[in-house]
Amino acid sequence: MHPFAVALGGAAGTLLRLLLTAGGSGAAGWDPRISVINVVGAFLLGVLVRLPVRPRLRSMLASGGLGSLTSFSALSIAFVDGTPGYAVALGLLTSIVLGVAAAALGMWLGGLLTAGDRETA
Amino acid sequence: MTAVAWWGWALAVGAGSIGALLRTWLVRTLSKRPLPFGVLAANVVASVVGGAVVADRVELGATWSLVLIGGFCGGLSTLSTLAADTVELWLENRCRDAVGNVAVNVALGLLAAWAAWTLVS
Repeated sequence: MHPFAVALGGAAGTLLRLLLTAGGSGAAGWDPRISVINVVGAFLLGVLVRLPVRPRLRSMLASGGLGSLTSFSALSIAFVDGTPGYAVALGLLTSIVLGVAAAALGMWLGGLLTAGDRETA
Repeated sequence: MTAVAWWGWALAVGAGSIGALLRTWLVRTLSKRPLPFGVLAANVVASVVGGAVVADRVELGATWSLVLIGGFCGGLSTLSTLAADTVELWLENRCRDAVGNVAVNVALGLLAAWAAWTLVS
């Protein structure tokens, strides 16, 4: 499973997420920026799964980087940390509905890119 | 998040890296049928840890809350893989599994966070 690649990607993804959400609630409380990060991360992962990338690079970027950049626990933790119910629901809804749509769009785009590669090869 | 020292941020990044390794191991180890259980396990475990930490965050302090929630739980849980897996299920014409995948992650994730929070607080 290329542990060093996953660990390196995981560190980079975590650092980027912490930097992008810095100044906000940080450790607790739902932050709208988490939903933006989740949707962008889902889109990039969608593109990546359709691209012919070496396994080690895939482990670093997908399992490590994008997996750690995006967060599900931020949404479930908001459920118990005193965040208003509407904000929890909004966070889940935007992350998941837009995230799935973004992943589908990414896969379609990634598929187009690789189809182009195959034609020119 | 004003009182977190530089080493707290460094530890949080390291914890995210460990979370990513654990998630990748779970994804490789657990079955993908009928649902991707590895991602589900990662999201549920991260929600349990997060719920417990939130219940005890006053005693833990800002630094350890950031390390455990922003670092470990964020690195362990993922939304991008959940979204991409759901799209793949849909593309395989397993629409019920796709909807079920999202529903089970949300339901068990929230339940796990709530149960851990209730037990600890």
